[in-house]
Amino acid sequence: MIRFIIKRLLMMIPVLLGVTLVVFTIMYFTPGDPAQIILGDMATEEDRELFREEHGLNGSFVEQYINYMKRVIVEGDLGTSYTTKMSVTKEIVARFPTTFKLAGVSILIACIIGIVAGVISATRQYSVFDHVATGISLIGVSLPNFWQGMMNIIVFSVWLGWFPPSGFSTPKHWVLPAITIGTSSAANIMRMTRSSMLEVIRQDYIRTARSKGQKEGVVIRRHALRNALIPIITVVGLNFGKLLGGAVLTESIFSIAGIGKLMVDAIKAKNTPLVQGGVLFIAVVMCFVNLIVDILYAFVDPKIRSQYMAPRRTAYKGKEETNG
Amino acid sequence: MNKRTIAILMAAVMVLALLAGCGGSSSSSGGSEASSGSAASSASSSGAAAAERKTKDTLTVAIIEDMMSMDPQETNRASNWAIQRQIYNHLVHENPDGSVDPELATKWEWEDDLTLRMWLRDDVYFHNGVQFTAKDVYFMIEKALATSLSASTYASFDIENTEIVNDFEIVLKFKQPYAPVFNTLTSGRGSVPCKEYFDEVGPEVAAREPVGTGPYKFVSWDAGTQMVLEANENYWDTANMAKTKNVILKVVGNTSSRVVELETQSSDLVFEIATTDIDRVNAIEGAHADVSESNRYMLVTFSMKDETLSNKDLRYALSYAIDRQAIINVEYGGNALMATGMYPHNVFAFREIPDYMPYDLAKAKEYMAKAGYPDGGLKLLFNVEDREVDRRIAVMLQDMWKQIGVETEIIVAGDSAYVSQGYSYQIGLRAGNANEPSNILIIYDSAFAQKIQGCDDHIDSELARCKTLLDASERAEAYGALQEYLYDIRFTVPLLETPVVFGVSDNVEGFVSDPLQQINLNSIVVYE
Repeated sequence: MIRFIIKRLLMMIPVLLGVTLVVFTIMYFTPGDPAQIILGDMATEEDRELFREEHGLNGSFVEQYINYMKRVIVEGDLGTSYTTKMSVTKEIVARFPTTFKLAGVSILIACIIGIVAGVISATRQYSVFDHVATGISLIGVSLPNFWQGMMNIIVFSVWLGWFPPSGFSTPKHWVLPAITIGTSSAANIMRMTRSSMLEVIRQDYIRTARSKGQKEGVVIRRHALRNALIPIITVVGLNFGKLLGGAVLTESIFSIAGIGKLMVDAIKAKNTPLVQGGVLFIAVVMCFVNLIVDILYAFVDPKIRSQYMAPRRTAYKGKEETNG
Repeated sequence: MNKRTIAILMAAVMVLALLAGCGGSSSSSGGSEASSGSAASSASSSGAAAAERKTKDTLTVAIIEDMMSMDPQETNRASNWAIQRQIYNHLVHENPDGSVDPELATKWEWEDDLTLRMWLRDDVYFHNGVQFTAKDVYFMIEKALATSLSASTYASFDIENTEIVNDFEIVLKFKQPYAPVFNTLTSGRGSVPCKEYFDEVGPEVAAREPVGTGPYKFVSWDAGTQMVLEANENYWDTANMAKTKNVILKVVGNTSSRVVELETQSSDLVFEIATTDIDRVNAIEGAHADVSESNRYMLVTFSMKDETLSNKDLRYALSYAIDRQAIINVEYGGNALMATGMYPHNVFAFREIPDYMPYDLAKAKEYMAKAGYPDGGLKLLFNVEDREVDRRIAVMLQDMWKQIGVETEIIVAGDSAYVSQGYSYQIGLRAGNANEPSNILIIYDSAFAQKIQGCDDHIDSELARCKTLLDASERAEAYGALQEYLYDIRFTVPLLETPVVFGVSDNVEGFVSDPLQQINLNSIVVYE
């Protein structure tokens, strides 16, 4: 398993190098002069020249990219934001806890609702609950997050006064944005859980478990759900990774200072160091989330676990055979 | 409870949640309407009851965007300066009528056209305990000249010959006579930073954890979320000590969400309410919209680099086809002023133009014919910023110009970003916010020729000359003549002056609006 993890970590290096090159190239060749965008139309050409000098924007593409990579690899410095003049690393680190909390709470809500509803729907296929839950999940997938967010604010903040309409400073502030994101992710998870469970509960080993007289709850939890978890983990992992990259609309509606909003503002201002740093960071996060998902596969599925262990066992077995 | 019951309950909860969401919109407006009548009475009664009410120790303010930087010379956003002024002081204070009062400087004297001697207060300390001296003033100018965001504003300051006489006396030198000096010193870029603090912690930390001499001290800054300030108990200006101990500045970027802040009583004071939301705010029980005159204006710009638009008759035709009153009625609900000259009427040296650009379709068509387009058939590019109001006004203008046979293709993009792609736009829409003629008219200057690119020698020389005229009446006359010239050549069509609108809780007392939104929070008291 450790070899697998190390291998995956090493595989991240070319991926991340590729990401830096692609993002740098896109930002460099996208029309628009950062000096003009950031200084606005009240700046003179001298001001703009001073800005370019301050930020090393006068070199060629290759020079600028090499300088950037040198700083990143040798000094671990992602550069300085053009607008705030603050280190990009600090900007991202300042925003990440908020994004992580939002993504974590949202995915927790999504898992609780999605998996429970999905399991019940599958075990009671074509029941009233199944129809209602499937219908709601369809609506949940279709409803735009910004609309849900605004409705949540109107109902729970303006009418009922239960939760604050903006910010993310206390757990009370987390509720509405997390529900807004969580419910749409829940719909995805519910649909995946239902279809995966339906496939599993028709398998022979489920019938065998039932015929052995095991309680239905045990059959569902221990035999069916566990075997149905692989696609669910995949969906949860993808959703979580996506959320860690920022939920721009939800962040805007609830005035949450997360990674998504930071990135959108940076792109608008052609704040290249921040865009590059942010994308690189999101790429690292996605790689790690995928790695964790792969590790989770091994935990829930003995067949996959045995694949990770296979080379070592073979060697041991071979030695045993030789000795024999 | 058996599994079946749980399942039914879960389904019911899901359906109810969905129905609650669906029903939200209509009921919300109903609720607002129901409460509309009480707003005015609540506002009027709050003053009388104020004396008996308990004050809160925290004022919560919803602001429109996060700080770019808390270093006053490292930002070009008025929204940032509005916050910085709570922490910093200026050398002088400019009154609404343009007169100047002492602030950190006690008095000043022009020795000649290029030399301004200033005497400074000797009883002022920064929040870190360091005494304010002339070194800090010198540092402010030096720093401003070294950064791209402030250098052109301070371009007339001659730092090399500026002399620190002693800790509380400084002689400012200028490269040429510089009439708007006090406007520069009272602007956001004129906030005085602490040199010793910058030297000690470095510019990055100083810009994130500011230290000033103002009525409020910096406490914390949660990037993108909120900033917390607390009253400076050792504030030198004892008559203007902060009346509320703590201030929370919440970043609420979405216009509609800022109204919700008032509806839910989450904020006591809200910056920049959209004019279209004024009625909605006034319908909130316990809050009202404070609408007042501003220095904001909106104008249509024509690119003079474009061959088609270099035709003056065409520019005249386009200007006479604009029904500005319709724009004010539709987009601002009547809460904006028609422009009557080339810049806001409340700015120094404003000259009202008689019969200013009337809406006259016949005249517009006549000019179209003179311009060589008797049958229309002209297509122009129209670049607008990605702001809701701008987009809607652009659509209205598009319709108006269609009446004279001019088609426009609207391109929504940040104008700086768009222009930097190769100066290919023809018509633009610009929102300005300034109270000094040289700053307003800078858009006509060739050196700043991003949008108009007029490259008109007369304008350039007059703009440069006006800045050097230290005599106010002479300067006013020169600016007046320049405005008439600008009206005649019509590189732009100033459309209207927009109001400044704050959302204010009825529990707030002592709030005074400002045309540039540079309000003072230290005078505000909040009641329970």
